[in-house]
This record gives sequence, C-alpha cells and structure tokens, in this order.
Amino acid sequence: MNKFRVFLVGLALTFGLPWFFLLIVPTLQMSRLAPLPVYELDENGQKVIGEDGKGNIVSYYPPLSSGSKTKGEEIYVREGCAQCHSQLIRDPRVAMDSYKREWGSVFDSMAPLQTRPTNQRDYLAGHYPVLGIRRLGGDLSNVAYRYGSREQMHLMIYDSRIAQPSSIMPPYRFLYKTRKIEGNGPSVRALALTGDLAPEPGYEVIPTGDAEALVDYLMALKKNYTDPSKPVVADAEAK
Amino acid sequence: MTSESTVVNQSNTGTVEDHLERAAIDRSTRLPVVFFLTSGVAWLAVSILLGVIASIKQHSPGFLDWDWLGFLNFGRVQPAFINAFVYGWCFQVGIAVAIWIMARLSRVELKNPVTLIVAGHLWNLGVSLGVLGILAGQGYSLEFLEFPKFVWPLLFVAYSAISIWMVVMFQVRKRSDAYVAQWYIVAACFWFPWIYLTANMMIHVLPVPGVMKSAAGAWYKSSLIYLFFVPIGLASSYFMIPKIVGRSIYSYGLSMVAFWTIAGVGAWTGLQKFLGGPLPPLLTAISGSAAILMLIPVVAIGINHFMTVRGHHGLIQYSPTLRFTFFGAIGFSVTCLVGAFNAIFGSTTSFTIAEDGFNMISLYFFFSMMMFGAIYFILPRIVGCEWLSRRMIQLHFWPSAYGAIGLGLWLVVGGIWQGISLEAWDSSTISAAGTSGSFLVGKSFIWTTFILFSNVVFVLHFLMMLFRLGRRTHEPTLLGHPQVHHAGQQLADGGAGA
Repeated sequence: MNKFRVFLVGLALTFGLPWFFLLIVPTLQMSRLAPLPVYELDENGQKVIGEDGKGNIVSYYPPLSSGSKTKGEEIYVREGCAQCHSQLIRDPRVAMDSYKREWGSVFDSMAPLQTRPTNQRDYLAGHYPVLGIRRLGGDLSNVAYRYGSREQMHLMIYDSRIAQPSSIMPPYRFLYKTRKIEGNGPSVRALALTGDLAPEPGYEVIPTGDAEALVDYLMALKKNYTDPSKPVVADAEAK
Repeated sequence: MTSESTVVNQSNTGTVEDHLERAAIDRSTRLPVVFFLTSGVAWLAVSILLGVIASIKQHSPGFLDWDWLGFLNFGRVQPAFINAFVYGWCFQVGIAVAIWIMARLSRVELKNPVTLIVAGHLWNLGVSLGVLGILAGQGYSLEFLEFPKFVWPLLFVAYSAISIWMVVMFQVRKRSDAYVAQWYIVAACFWFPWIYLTANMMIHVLPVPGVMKSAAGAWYKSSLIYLFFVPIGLASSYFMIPKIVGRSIYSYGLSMVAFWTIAGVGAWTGLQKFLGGPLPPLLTAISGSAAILMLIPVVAIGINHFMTVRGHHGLIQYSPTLRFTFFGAIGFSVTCLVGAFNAIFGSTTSFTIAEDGFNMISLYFFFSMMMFGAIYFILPRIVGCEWLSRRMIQLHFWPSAYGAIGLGLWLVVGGIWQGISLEAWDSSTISAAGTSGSFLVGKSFIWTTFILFSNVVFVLHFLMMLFRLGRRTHEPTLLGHPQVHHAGQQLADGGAGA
C-alpha cells in the first residue's frame, strides 16, 4: 500500500469514527421513536386506544402537526424565527429554563408552575428542526400559555412594540393587509390597532392566511401532555 | 510523508530554472485563481453590506423598516449575510489559495483549468440562488445551512469537482514527499464533501427525527470550522511563514501531532450546543470535551510557528503577508480558546451571542486574516504588478485587526452577560434581551466602522490590482524598510520571481 493510501485511510478513520458514533448510531436509535397513541377509559374503566370508528387513532403523544399548523411551521422557518427563538427547555440540572415563569404560564391558569424539559418525542410533532439558533427572544416551547387570545398574538406579530415598547422583535406587517371596510362593518378578525399604527378611518387591518397559519402553529405550542418517557408517574397522577 | 524532508523547505533563493518554473506555474494558475479570488472578494463586499444591515436590524428593527422591505427583517437578512460570508467569501478565497499553494508545492503546471472554472460558476450560481432564496423566503432553520433545499446538490457537485482536481494535482506532484500544507489541503478536500453530504442528507432527504436534524446542523457548523476552515487557514500559514522567513518549519514532529489531533478531535465537536437538551447526554459531553481537546493543536502549532519565526519577528513589521498571517495564527489560538470556553460554560453561553462571537473569531479573526495575508502574497505573482500603496495595506490591517479582536471579544463578553441574565429564573426575557442589546449596539458600531472601512479599502486595492494599476516593479510593497540585521536573508514578500 502506498503512503497516500495510508494517509487517506487515516483521514477516513479519524473522521469516520466520530461521524459514526455521533450521528449515525444516535439517528438509528432515535428512528425507533414514534408518536404514542393516547389511551382513553371505556365504560368498563378499561384503558383502550381512542379510535374514530374507522380504525384511525384519534390522538397521539405528541399531538401531530397537520394542515394549517404545518403551513404555520413553514412560515416560522422561512421568516427565520429560529434565528432568535428556541424551542428547547433544558434539564433543570443544567439550566434554569424550566423555572422561567415567562416561558411557561402568564395567562393560562392551567399552565404548570414549572415547565418540564422537552424530550426527543416532543419534536416528532413538527416537520422541521426548530430547536433554535440563539435566544434573543424567549423560548417558544410553551408560548401558547403566554397569550390569552389569538388577537393578542396577532398584535405581537404585527408589531411587538405595541405590548412591549423595548422589544427588539421585528414587525411582520407584511403578513397583514389593510383593506377598506365593507358594508357590514369591520371584520371580526380586524386587529385592534390604536395610535400611530391605526389604519385610516374606513380601513381595517386583517391577517392574511399566512398570519393565521402562523398563529395556528404557535397557539398549538404547549407541552400540556404528559411526558411519555415517565408513564408510571403520569398514571399515578391520573388515578 | 514520513521523512524529515517533508517539512516545508522552500528556499527563496534559487537557480534561474527555479524562478522560471515558478513563474510558469503561476501563469498556469492565473485563470482559476483570479476567478475564485474575484468572486470571493465580490461576495465579501456583498456580505459585509448585508452584515451591516443584519447587525443594525438586530437591535433596532425600525431601521429600513418599510412594508415593502419586509424581506430585510433580521430573521432573513442574518442568514443571508452569514451564508454569503461563508459560502461566497470564505469558501471561494480558501479554494483560490488552496489551488495556488497546491500547484506551487506540487511543482506542476495547471493543465486544464476548464473544470475549475465550470465548477466555480456552478458554485457562484448556487450561492447566488441560495442568498436570494433566503431573502425571498425559502430559508431553513439551521445555522450555516439556511440555503433553500435545492441549492445543496449544486454546491456539492461543484465542490467535489474542485476537490477531485486538487487530489489529482497532488498525485502528479514532482516530489514523492508531501509538505505539511499539502496534508491540510488534501484533508480539507477529503472531509468537506463528506461533512456536507451527511448534513444535507440527514436534513433534506432521509426521514430523520427532528432532534437529530438539529444535532446534524450543530455538528455541521462545528465540523465546517474545525475540519475545513482550520485546515485551509493552517495550510496557508504553513506555506507563508517558512516562505517569508526563509527557513523550514521548526519541528516536523509537532506538525504531525497538531495535524492528527485536529483530524482526530475535530469531528467530535458541535453537539455541546444542546447541553442539557433532548440529545443523549453522553453525546453532548463528548462534544464538549472534544472542543476542549482542540487546545492541544493550539499549543503544538503555536510553538511550531513561534520557533519558525524566532529571531525574525522584526519581519512582521515589514511584510504584509507575514503580519496578516501571524495575526491569523493568533486568531487560531483564540478560536480554539473561545471554543473551549464556550464548551466549559456551555450551560450559560449556549444560545447566546457568545456563539456569534465564536463564529466571527473563527471566520474573520482567524480565517479571513490568514486569507488576506495569502492574497497579499499571491496576487502580485499572478497579475504581474505590485500592490500600489503601503498606506492602503496598513489601513486594511489596523481596522481589521481592531475590528476582529473587538468583535470577537465583545460578543463573547456580551454572550456571558446575556447567558447570566437568561439564567436568572425570576427575571424577564425582555431584560435579558436588553442586556444583550447594549452589546449588539457595540457590535454594530464595530461593523460599520472598523470592518466596513477596512474592507472597503481592501476591495478598492484589490480592484486596482485586478486592473493592473499596481506598481510596475520587482520590489515588493513592504510596510517599511527592513533594517540591516535582516539583510542576511532575502525578504521574499512580493517580487514576481520569488
């Protein structure tokens, strides 16, 4: 074997080892992960998998993204939301993510006081890697708890400085359109804009389909289902 | 590549035949090298402007905020900037320098530049489509991989053609032994297609769980820096430093240690970004440890470079190439130190602007400075005239140097503050954003003054060289007049024959 081949084998081995153990093995391990069906109690108190009568399972852990939620996730990715927002609650032994009140409950009384760390199964819900790049904004794993209504979230996306004057989040006005108010008065979907941002009299600002899809996606972001990796504890609490 | 003689030992003085041979090789590489350098510098100009917009937008979203300019929001302009910078400037200038060094060290004239030129056009097409695609709303959510889905096959094919060409060049070399610089270039050619193919297959093609896609993205970014930009940058320093000082590398053994440590450790890094996250904890721990082990090559290369230049450190004052290269070598140490620091304090610095600090240190402080040094050496030999103005080189060096140090350290310190303020569980996110905001204003200041200014000077100087407006002389453009005690050895910087 000549020296060049020895050199190439050296390069292949030194690189191939981490490539195999860091990426290939964990990917194969995780490819066994699948969404779990949700159990329901039937009339006899027996646990059964919820079906819709045609043999389709009704709901999963985690709740799968579909339809306009998937569209919303696409918009989330293309607008680069992940540049500033993460969707990752780290283990409390490492970081205080799950204790941050703002990253869990603000408006929703059903929100847990301490959010749980996200696990591998949580990310089966979506179609894109959304763990995030940096955290100039807050973590969005549980963003749905933070907003009382869709309207509030629309206002945040339209111009975040309405709610938080020192916010550095960019406005996404191009996801909304200004139109003339039709005969029946303003649309129910029109944003309640005041001050400088208010449209001219006789006009209203309404969300486009993209904005609605994005809000659909964000309003579904809450980890309100039990951590499937801890089934025993969850069952004990249920009884 | 196992004997003592493999160490770079290119004497600057030589026979007439040597000079003629080098001139012939330089002539043969002119077309592809000038092509890649020119398109690289054009992308540098574009990306610095995009970087100014991204930097200001990061703390003041009201800047350039009209409805029809929605595509310039931070979420789109930041990935457009970083991808233009990485794939437009860093890659193309790296390829140009690698081609030239490879041809010189293999002592082979470049016979068929068509492959390289076609690959170069394909690469530029890919980068242009990618950057426009991001701005048009086709971007992706992983750092350095934000190009739309259809771009990666273009870049992969273009790069593979270039690296096959490079390896062929290496195989037909005149001497059987290989130089250290050649090891690094062959290694980078060999690893990058593998890294790029793996990451893109996992992200765009194979049905991989979302967590592993993010993991592949983090691994890609780290591997790209440690196994592509580091080898190409070091290849340039292993060529330029002995060349200008006029002696061989101090220790062959240390070069060997450094090379194989980078090879063995580099690809383990990256996953520490998700420390405490949903990945198996063992993987993040290994990655963090590997980032700390990258300090071994820092020591080996530091000693090696220092001892090679020892006794001739005065040359740094005169030779633009050596000055930029030496500064870039410091940048390599800082890259690995900051990488290790971010790994050790990962729970604080992950997801903060300290990671941007690491990017800028590795891509600008280390890699770009190394490449500037190489360009100051290579371009006069290719276009046949000398750099016009010593003052312009100095105006390029000092703001770049202050900008690189300032930008890197400012972002790392800012990232630590941001991380601490995010860690405070009872304080709001907006206060953490405020903490980092003040550092982001500082970053904008450094971008719009030091980095923008120095690179405007550089681009102008480069264009003058391209239009042959340089000095018609055989005397290299130096930053001063060497003292008598250096007279014992010829200063190789510049001079079309050297």
